[in-house]
Amino acid sequence: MAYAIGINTVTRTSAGAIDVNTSEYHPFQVGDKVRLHNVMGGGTYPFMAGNPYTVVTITANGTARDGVTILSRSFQLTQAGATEAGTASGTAAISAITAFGSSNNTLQIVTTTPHNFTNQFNFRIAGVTCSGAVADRDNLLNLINRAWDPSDVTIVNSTTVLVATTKWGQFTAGNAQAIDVTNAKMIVPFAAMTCALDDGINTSGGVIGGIGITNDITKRLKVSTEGKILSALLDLAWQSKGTDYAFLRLFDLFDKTKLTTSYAKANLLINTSASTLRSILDTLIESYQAYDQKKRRYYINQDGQLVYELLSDVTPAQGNAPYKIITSGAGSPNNTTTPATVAPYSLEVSWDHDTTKRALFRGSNANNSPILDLIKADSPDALGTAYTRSGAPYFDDSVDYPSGGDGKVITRQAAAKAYFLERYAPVLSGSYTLRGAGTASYNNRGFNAGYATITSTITTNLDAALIQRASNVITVSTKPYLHRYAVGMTVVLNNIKSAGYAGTYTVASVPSGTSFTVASVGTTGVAQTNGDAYITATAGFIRTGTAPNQIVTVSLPAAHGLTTGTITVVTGLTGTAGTSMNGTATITRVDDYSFTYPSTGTNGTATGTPVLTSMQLVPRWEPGQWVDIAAPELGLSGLYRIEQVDWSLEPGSFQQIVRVMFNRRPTKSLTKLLQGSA
Amino acid sequence: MATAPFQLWIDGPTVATAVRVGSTVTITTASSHGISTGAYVELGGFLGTVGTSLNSVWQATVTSGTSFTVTSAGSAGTAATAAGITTEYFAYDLLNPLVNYSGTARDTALYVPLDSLTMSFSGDGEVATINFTVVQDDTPSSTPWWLTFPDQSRLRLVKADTGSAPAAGQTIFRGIVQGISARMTGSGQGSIADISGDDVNALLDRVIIYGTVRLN
Repeated sequence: MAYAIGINTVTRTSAGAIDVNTSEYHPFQVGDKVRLHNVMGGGTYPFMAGNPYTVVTITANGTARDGVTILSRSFQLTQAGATEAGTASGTAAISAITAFGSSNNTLQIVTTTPHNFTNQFNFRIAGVTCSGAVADRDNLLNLINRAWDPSDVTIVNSTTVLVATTKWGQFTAGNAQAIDVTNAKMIVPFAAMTCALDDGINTSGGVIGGIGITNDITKRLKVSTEGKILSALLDLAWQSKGTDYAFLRLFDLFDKTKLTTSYAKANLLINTSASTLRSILDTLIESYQAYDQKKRRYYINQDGQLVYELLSDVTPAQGNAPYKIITSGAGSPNNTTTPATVAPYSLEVSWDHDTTKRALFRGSNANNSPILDLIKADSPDALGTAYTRSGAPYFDDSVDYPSGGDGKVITRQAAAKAYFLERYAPVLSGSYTLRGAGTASYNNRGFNAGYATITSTITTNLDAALIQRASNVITVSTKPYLHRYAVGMTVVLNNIKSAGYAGTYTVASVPSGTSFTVASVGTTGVAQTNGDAYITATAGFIRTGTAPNQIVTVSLPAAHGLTTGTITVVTGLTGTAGTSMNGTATITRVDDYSFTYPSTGTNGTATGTPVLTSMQLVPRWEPGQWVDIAAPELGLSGLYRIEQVDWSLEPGSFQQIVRVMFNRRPTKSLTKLLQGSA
Repeated sequence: MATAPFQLWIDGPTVATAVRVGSTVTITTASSHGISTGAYVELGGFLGTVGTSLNSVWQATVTSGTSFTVTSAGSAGTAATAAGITTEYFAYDLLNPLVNYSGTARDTALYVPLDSLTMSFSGDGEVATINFTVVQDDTPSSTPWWLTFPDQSRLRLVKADTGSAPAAGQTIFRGIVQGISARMTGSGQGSIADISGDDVNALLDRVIIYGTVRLN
């Protein structure tokens, strides 16, 4: 599903031209196919009947940005055959409200003119009265005359919807006459009318399928945040796989809880042809990695979720050591904070001398352009001492990177760093073998299971669609994205132009999954923004209860991925209540976004910048885990990253053989790369 | 019941109906199911009162090439299925020990030589692989078993005892059948099939993104 843009007004002239004024800058180009949603009215020619429309004119009422995008809040469509001038009314008269079937908790609403809802069907009902004596009359009317949440609404057809409500004795088929709809209306609130790209087809530019497969720079994909583009890619995948349930048993395209929500406002332009999801994810990684020099990875996990995350190149602290491989002693598999120890078979190491290289970059896309030695010209420390052993000579490698020419040193450096991160990762590598029985004890704690170190996402950023204040309460809409916030969490409102809105607040209430409120004394109004307003949310830590049975409830803005019993190290909390919340704890999972742990001290909310690091048993050894190896005989000491795992059973038994391959990355040198000046 | 500490599930053909009469549930498949009496089957994705009570692991009694029964007490009737798309499935455990099959069913039972079962995981997000061999001493008159399951059928290796329902955190491989290489047994009456599978990350290479994403 394409990103939806809010609409302020829709007006049709007698010539059939429809002017659409949007509430935010729209991304459309002439020729785009655009679909209107939730636009009521139009008379004989309902506005919705013309879907999908083709954009014929863009009215530029904004400022050009980056030489690429014209900021515009209006465009024009043409509705063939329509000669009736009119404006989207925002209301539809209600002709009947009746109990649906024999139930007394579902109402059927029928409108006189088509409501035309398709999605995001927020609406309010007003004007319903009672024609006769009805018990508890006011409560009955309040139950109907209110805003309805889309989750309670089912669209039957263009003039009929069903709404689920509280059970009520009056809502029976034989007592429907109590409801008077003479003046009843269905009203679409502000921002419910939306428009969106229909299916990505641009009729004039020939862009059929694919992301920006055109040389026209105005039609390229423009990325704002990493999380947005990932979410949109899954939506696109859903369009082709939404009915392929055999596929969906393995890959849940709806689940976006494991996607990084990094707010990389890089103004990147990505131009790629229609391709596989993996290819496009690789393109994203290369682009963002070149921008911020932070390594990323993606994979589909055992729960069918796409995981896309930033990788820390910092070696985990010893306290979080996942597993300890030793060359003496019997070993002690366990699941406590003390590393489990195992004496393996066939521990061996190897050194790769082929990693001693330097990179040469072509400096321009012109013929016969000079070859630039990246090391000397741009980044003298790029290779670092870890790549050169005992004064070994450099071996050259050439990289064709023409857009790094024309003196774009910073761009070239960024590309080089991404290149080295991918190309020259391992220097030392090795392997060991574990052999274990198939008993439950060893299955769960030893030979074929490892520990994963999980650093929970504490802070996220999310776009704010609408920020408005009334009665000293700011209500923030995050549509179309779920915010996952909870009461007590800290949020910062950013990029706001209007005075009196930006700042740090505590979430006071959560009316819905796409809105929340904070207390803020000020005038009533809607905040104007500087570009995209966004929210920075930080996890909340609140201690409640009476000693010694106090608990800390942790609410996070992103899924924590932890299970009950996970050992978690909490640091960084401050304040009267917060300082004593730091420490090592065993958590109890509440839901995907919340957990508790026992902790005594002053009740209240913590301050500070928390860090949550957890060590959790995972069902198998797999790449990406860390292992602590102490084998001085082979020069091994410290943590190594697992790169490959081979698993098999011994002949005729369920004895398992797990071959684990690991490597040591030159972290010191990579840190230099990551912390470069680009 | 003899047990193994692992289960190796492969999804079978589409389920047409699941009907409970008394404590007997008859599962009818859209095409030949390929299993024998004594096989452990997992039913999943069924809806409604009857359906949800079936979503578990059962030992099957084969009644025909396209139907089998399981014993499950509960509400009588036909299990509900999702409208529009097919959510319900049945899978069978290839690591079920032979002793769990009735004497007459062992000839057509499926079993995996344990030393043929291997997996390999490499790199972040790269496609992991699984390989195993399935022996069937006597090919049924209907069709070889490896022609009965759908293309790219789902595979799962689970750390759970034979007959128990898989739980969260027990799966160590999820993927699809990538290829089958089959040959005849020495007696000439059965087949030996080498199955190779890719893990779920292979799906990243099988989804073509179609459409435009243009975000400002």
